Amino acid sequence: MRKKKILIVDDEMVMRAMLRDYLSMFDYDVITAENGMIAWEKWNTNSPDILITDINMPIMSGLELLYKVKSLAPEFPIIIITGVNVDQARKSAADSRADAFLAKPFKMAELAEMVKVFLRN
Amino acid sequence: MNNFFVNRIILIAVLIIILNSSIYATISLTKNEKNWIAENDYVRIFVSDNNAPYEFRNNQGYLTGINIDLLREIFTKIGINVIFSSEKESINQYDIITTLNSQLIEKKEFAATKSIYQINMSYISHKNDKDISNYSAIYLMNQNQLDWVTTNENNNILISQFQNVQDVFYAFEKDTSGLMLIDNFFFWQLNELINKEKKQPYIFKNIKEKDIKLFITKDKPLLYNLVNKSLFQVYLNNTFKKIYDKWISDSNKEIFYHKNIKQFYILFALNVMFVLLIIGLIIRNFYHENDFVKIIREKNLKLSNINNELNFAKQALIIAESKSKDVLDHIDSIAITVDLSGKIVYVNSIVKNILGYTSDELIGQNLSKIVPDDSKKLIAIFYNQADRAKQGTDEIIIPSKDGLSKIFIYSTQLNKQLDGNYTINCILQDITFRKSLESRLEAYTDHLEDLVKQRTQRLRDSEERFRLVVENSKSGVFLLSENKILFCNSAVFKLTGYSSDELIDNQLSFHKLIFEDSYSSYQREFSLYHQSKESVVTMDLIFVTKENKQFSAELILSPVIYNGQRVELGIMRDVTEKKKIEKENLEKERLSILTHFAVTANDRINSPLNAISGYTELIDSQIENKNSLLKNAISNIYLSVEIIENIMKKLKSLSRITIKDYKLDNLKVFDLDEDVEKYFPASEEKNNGD
Repeated sequence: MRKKKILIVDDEMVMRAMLRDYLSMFDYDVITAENGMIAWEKWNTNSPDILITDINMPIMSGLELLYKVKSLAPEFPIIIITGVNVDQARKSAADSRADAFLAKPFKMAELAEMVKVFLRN
Repeated sequence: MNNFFVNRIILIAVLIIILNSSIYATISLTKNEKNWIAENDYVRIFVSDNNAPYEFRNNQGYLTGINIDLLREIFTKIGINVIFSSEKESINQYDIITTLNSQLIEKKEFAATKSIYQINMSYISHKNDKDISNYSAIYLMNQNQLDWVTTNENNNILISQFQNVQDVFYAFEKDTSGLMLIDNFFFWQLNELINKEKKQPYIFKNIKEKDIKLFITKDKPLLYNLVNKSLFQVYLNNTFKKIYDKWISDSNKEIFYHKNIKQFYILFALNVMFVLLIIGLIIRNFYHENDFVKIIREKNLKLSNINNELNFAKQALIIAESKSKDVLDHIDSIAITVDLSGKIVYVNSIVKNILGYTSDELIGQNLSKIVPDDSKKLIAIFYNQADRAKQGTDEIIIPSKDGLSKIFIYSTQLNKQLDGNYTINCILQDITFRKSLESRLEAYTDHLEDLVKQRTQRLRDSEERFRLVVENSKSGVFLLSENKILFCNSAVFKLTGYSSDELIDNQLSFHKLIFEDSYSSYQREFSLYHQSKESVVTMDLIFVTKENKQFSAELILSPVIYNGQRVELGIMRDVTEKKKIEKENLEKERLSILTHFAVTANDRINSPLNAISGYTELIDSQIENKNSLLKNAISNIYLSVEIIENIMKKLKSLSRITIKDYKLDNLKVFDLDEDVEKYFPASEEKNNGD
């Protein structure tokens, strides 16, 4: 049985490393990208099962990436994580058909549970 | 006196005439002499060129003098041309040489004539002593002839030569031991000088004599004969006397002397007698004429004179008429003469240029030819004016031949003719062109007046606009000269609280309006502006009002010329409100920056904070049996993360300003609403629908 593949997108290297290290503990195949553009390429080539993305990133934002992915795969699960303007981001995530939203700093246990739920569905 | 006696006298007179004719006739020549004259075209004579008045070169460069004239006479009688020369180089080529040059020739080659006349010399001395050796100097004229006069007199004596008698005499006059030697020819001039002196000098006359002869080359004996024959004729005719008189004044006749003069006097006396005889005969005949013939002759003479005068007067009249006509034909006005019936008696030729009619067309015609309707009226006008002897400048209009109306001013004069009738002389001056010019000038003047009115109105409007702008300006406008305000608008009064009387042209210095803390700044800026001749300077200053209240104002100064002098045009603008707004804006900007920083910092801090908490969770999950210390440490990390999280939330809550394009570490902070609207417009509608 193939390992579930998670694509993590964040411009902060330490954040990407922490997410990769933490989620790897649950036997997921974790791949990372530093902005929306790279993530879009990896999404197309690596066929991940879930996408976890920051919003505020250079070159291509998380919302633009979300738009592109949802345009091709409306049911594809996407979790938004952001540290800026949380209230607005939360509403935006909902409006943009994101599947879940977490405001930084969040509990990794919450994220892991959320990923688990999405992947099981 | 009977006719016989008269006839005898006439016979004697005829004989005397025949005798005289033979005496005065040209010389008789032998055949050989005639042949010689025919073979020789001229005779060359060598003369001196500086022995005035005998032989000398005059101011025009010609050889002239007594001897020259005499020689001409001699050779005129011979009938041969003569050439005079003073070139000494070819002395042997000359045919004749005069005595004044005789020292230059070998006398053996030349034969001398008899003496023609003599030059006599006299001494003038301050003392009665004829011995030259007793004198230290001789003063004389600058003549070659004097060389032989003075030769060997006294080798030690000083000889001084001068150009004229006056100079000789003045030199002699100053030297009491001097002697003056003078040719008698100049005695008449010397007499005038001597007569002016108080003390008369001694004159020793004719102490030297010089015979004037001609030296004729021995190669030409026939010439020698001819010259001697001719000289005899010259003696007889007293030719030398005539020539001499031509050269000397009458007062000096006595200095001429010649031994042949007696022959001349005899002949002269005979001639005088003959002339007297002829005159006597004529007088006799005159007194014996008939008195009637005499009267007729006188009357004829008078009649002839009257006829001459009459002819002269007629001629003068014709000339005068011609001149008058010529003048009238050349004036630029019409001169016309009409009789009282309107018949044109005369009109000058300029009428062709002005009215188009020729003089011939009009003369003899009635005025009605040129003014058919008004000719009688015109005659009446001319007559009335002429009768009053008025030199009028009234205007009349006369049509030209081609129908154009010509305007004239005229003056008239009434003349009574010899037959008792009157004519009117009238001068018509064409002023049509002048009137046209006047009309155009009047129109142009009106146009200029309109222009002046328009421009005056524009100026007035401009002034009014300027006044409105200046008076309604919220900024103070003023003219400043040497710290005195020459003019200011009402805004200055409002800003400063001073009245017009206190500010304008008064002793209140502009400096007093500036707050003392701003004064040094004003002085510095004004000095730099004035020295550098900048066109404008702007200063932010604090001013004080009459009530001692301060207000911030922007002061702008620029130079302008007012009444020929440089003054400063000042604009004072109250910037108190502006300063206040600027301060508020600055505060807002600072707050905005702070807020933005907070938002951005929140974003940038949350990620590493999340990493700390995430890794703490990872560690916590990986270590199963944790001691109390480790548990406490992990708990404290969670607590610290929570504290920082709360601080960041508070910092973030300071403002909810969304800032676009604010960059921190090249990160753009997005407006999420805009992005959602951009990428998910349907979700907005959905929310609205919900």
